[in-house]
Amino acid sequence: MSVVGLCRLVRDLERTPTLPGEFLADPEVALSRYPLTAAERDAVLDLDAQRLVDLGLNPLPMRSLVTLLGVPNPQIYTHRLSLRPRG
Amino acid sequence: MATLVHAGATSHVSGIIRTPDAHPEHSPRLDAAWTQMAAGITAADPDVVIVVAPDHYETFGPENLPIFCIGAADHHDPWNEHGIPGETVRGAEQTALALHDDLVHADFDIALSREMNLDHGFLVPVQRLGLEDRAIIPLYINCTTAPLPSLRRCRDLGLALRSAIERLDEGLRVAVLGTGGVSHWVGLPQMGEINEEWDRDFLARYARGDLESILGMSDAEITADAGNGALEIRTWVTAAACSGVAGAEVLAYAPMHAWVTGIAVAELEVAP
Repeated sequence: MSVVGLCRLVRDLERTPTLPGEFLADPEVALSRYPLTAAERDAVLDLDAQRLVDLGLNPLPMRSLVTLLGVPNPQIYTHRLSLRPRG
Repeated sequence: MATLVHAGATSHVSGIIRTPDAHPEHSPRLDAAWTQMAAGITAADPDVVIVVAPDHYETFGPENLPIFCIGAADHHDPWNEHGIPGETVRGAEQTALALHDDLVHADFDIALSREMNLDHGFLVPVQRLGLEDRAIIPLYINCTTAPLPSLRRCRDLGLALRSAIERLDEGLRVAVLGTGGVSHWVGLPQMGEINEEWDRDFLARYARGDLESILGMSDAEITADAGNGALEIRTWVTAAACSGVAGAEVLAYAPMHAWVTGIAVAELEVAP
């Protein structure tokens, strides 16, 4: 089940010090290690808090996921950041 | 017969130990409250402290999600999630196993974990109340992922827990501590809001032992008015029921915006 995959991703980001950096360097490769649906992958790449919650990720791990990937806590629903390559 | 020698409830946000001086007026009052509760626990000198708390997707998640779970191990390691301080605590393996056995025979289908790491919900109050050298039994209640146990079920757990405690070995001294709340929104657009009015109303009911009116709250109402974080009052309900629902003294309350949480500390009256 992919919500399991998302939560596993969150725990790995929390507990593997090098992973957030690897993720930011090449998010597509990092994401490929997790059993996520296309919609979940897109939501993670877009750092889209609402979409992740709508896809079934509980707000608690969602908050961890998005902030571990660089979004300031107060801005998780309002930011304009993305993990997609610019341009 | 063992004895319940102390019962209480407190918030558990990590700011309690990370930024204890966050507010010039509120922080000293909260500090005094925790110090007073710590002194009360020291005076009661429990052999074991049962900490009733949620987990924030550190130990339990969609791959394994109990409603209630008791930890029985000779020690419990910290997750130190997000760099939150915390050290390994001594467990009370045999006592926890005895409690689990008693609860199951009392028709309470509580899960058992023989290796249960603890997150800030358990370890922030343990540290702030100076319980690091006490034997800790973690009692987890699902407060995050629907379907949650009803408030009435959490009340019933508290009643069953009290009976189970009293059937432990003669002379054993036990304390119970509920942690979480009060109003806060986690990972939701309202994050940062605090509903002081709701918090004070909840605490007033709690203080006068009016558990029935608390049990009448719906999760939809709680979430709308006080946030998904306020669903953690389940642990407060369990602690109150365990104590005998004789009321409580609210040692302090403050809307701590620096911690994005309404913070409360309450010492329960333990009824015989």
